[in-house]
Amino acid sequence: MKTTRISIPNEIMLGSVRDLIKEGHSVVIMTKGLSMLPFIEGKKDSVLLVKPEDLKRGDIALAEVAPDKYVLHRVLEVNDGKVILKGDGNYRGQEICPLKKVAGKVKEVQHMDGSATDPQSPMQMRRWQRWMGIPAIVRRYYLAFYRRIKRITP
Amino acid sequence: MKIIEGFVLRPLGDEFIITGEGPAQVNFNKMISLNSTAAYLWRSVEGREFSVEDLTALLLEEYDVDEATASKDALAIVNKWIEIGLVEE
Repeated sequence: MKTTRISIPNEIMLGSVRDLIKEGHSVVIMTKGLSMLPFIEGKKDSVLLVKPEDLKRGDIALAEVAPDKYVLHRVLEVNDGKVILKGDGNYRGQEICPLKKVAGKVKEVQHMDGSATDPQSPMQMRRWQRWMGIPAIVRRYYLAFYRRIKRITP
Repeated sequence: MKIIEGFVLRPLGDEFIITGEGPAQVNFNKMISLNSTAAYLWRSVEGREFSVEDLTALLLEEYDVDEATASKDALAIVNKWIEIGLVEE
């Protein structure tokens, strides 16, 4: 069977993803972008999204942070009906949105080799905490180097 | 012939897609896009037995085409659906 990669505008596709999750489905989508490096590599890793129940710090969430603008970023804080998110690969910049604008949370990151990681597992959480403990400037240079050796382009 | 259970047609913007759905999972990495004609045929025969003649009749009903063209298109689409495993005979 012939396979073609079709690209659908984010606001249309992710709107459907949001509705499907609301209906109780879990949804697999391919990721885009570099903002979640080194944990998620756009165009290579897919994510399995489920209902964003019991959202907490450290979860990775798909959220509509402005009308028709979605991000798949790490939850830094859930407080008073609001969520603060940030891409692991972004050394500055955060997003804030109401909790009800969170469309789903990542239950599994699926890699191209067929393996998968659970971002909520203790090991992955420790990896993330270690990553966050590194000064932003060092993370920035590390990612620049990482992208170069892995030939990752936007 | 019949559409195999577990395939669901969904509108996605201006397009239509078919996703294979397990008990609850929708995988956007494995979907098939249909044009509006194919989507119309799919909707019309979903959940029931159908033949190439049925699809031909549906095309004649909805589009301004002659029978030979409709029949040829219906056969092409059925062959395609069988080839990619959406339909069983």
